[in-house]
Amino acid sequence: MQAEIQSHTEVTALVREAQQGGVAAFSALYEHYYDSIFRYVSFRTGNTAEAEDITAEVFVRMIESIHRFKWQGYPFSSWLFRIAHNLVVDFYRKKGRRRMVPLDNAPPIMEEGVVDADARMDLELTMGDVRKAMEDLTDLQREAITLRFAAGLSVAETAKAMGKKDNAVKALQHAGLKKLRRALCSGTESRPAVALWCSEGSQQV
Amino acid sequence: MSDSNFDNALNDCLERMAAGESLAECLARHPEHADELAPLLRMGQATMRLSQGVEPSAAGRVRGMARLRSALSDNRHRKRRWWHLPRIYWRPISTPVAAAFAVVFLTIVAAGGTTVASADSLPGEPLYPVKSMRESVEERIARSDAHKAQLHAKLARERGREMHELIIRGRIYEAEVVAFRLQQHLNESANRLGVVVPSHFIEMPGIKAHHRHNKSAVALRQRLSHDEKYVKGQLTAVVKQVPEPHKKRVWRLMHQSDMGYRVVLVALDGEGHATVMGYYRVVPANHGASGK
Repeated sequence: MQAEIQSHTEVTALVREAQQGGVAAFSALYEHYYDSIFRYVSFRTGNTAEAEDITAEVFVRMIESIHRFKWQGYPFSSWLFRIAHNLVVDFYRKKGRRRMVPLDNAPPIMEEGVVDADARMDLELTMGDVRKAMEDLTDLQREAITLRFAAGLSVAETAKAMGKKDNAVKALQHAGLKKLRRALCSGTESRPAVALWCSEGSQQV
Repeated sequence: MSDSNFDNALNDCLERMAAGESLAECLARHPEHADELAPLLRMGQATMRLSQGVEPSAAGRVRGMARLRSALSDNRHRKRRWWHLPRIYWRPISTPVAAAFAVVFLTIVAAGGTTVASADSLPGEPLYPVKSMRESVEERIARSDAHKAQLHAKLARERGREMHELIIRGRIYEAEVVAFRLQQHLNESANRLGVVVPSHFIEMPGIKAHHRHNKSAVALRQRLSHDEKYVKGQLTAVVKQVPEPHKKRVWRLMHQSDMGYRVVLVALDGEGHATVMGYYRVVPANHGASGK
């Protein structure tokens, strides 16, 4: 679905259409951004059901406030992820900053070919390890890493979504990856998949 | 070199690798940082790949789309356009007066043949507002809840037909909006007979139908059961003709409308939600096959 909207111009046209009440444009924006927003929220909350709810709420907020969105040199995605970020913050505020133990960890729908139960379990466990390691990061580092790697935003988009300069995001990315690596690789019983990421030096793995 | 140079090299490599360049190729571009870059790039690449495996469930996506449509509908109620104005004025008028106006209105419009001509119109076409108004009027003048339930079932079927036509014309977005209205008609038809259809059936099973042995409920069930097959048949037939990029969305629409019927049928039976559990998990594999 994401392939249907390919350029910034198309997004711009859709946003303009949506601002004029075009139902089809809202649906297209939903289809285009749903996956990346879900990944971002899922990484931040660690709970599939909550992530789905929050993701849906992001789009409801989009409808309510899209008329206020103005092109001021930053991409629409940054604006959308800002909404997502605020909702994630609200989520933690409401939960009293308690870390959630996800009850509903329904296995995610896998990409075609990844149907093997062991592989699925391994992915789930690895995700759990990464989320746990992310707790060692500062809020800003976590935000930068999640926007860059889970949501797939560029540095410029991440910077706009976070209200930072590009260089600050690059520095957060650097420090975040370093800490993430330290947290994941310091354990003596790393999972094989994780251990592979922890190999030293510049040789190709 | 300063830290910012390293940050730039790291970012340069991450972006190149995201675009398909290999780790070795990237390290060759920054030999002075290679040893320090490699472990971080490996970590970044792995996190990126891992996140690609995080896929939202089909159920979540469908629920999200339903919320989006509901919010859009609420939003539009706040900003009605001129062709929606008559509905605003309907509400404060008492039913007998409204009915009298309705009869006059129907007579005038029917005399001109407009309503007949509008019967096959689709959303976005000039005559569609006439069709919507006629449906509003019909709903208003229906004598009893049982009649209203039957009428909404009929309108749900009509929405199914519209979806079919819209999909054939490649107007998938409009078909998605119509799918939401189909669901509203289905819920309304059950509600008219005192059956509450769960808004989220996994968490809140339907309230047992007190009237399920009544003639009205049996008749409605029969009608919906028949219409479920009709709508499914229409959409199944069309899904094969849809171009590849839209296939997945049409499959989703088909499952969504079929599930809508099944949820209402189960609620009418008063069997809770058990028999439709798992249906949300159906994902069109390879856009062609499905399984529970």
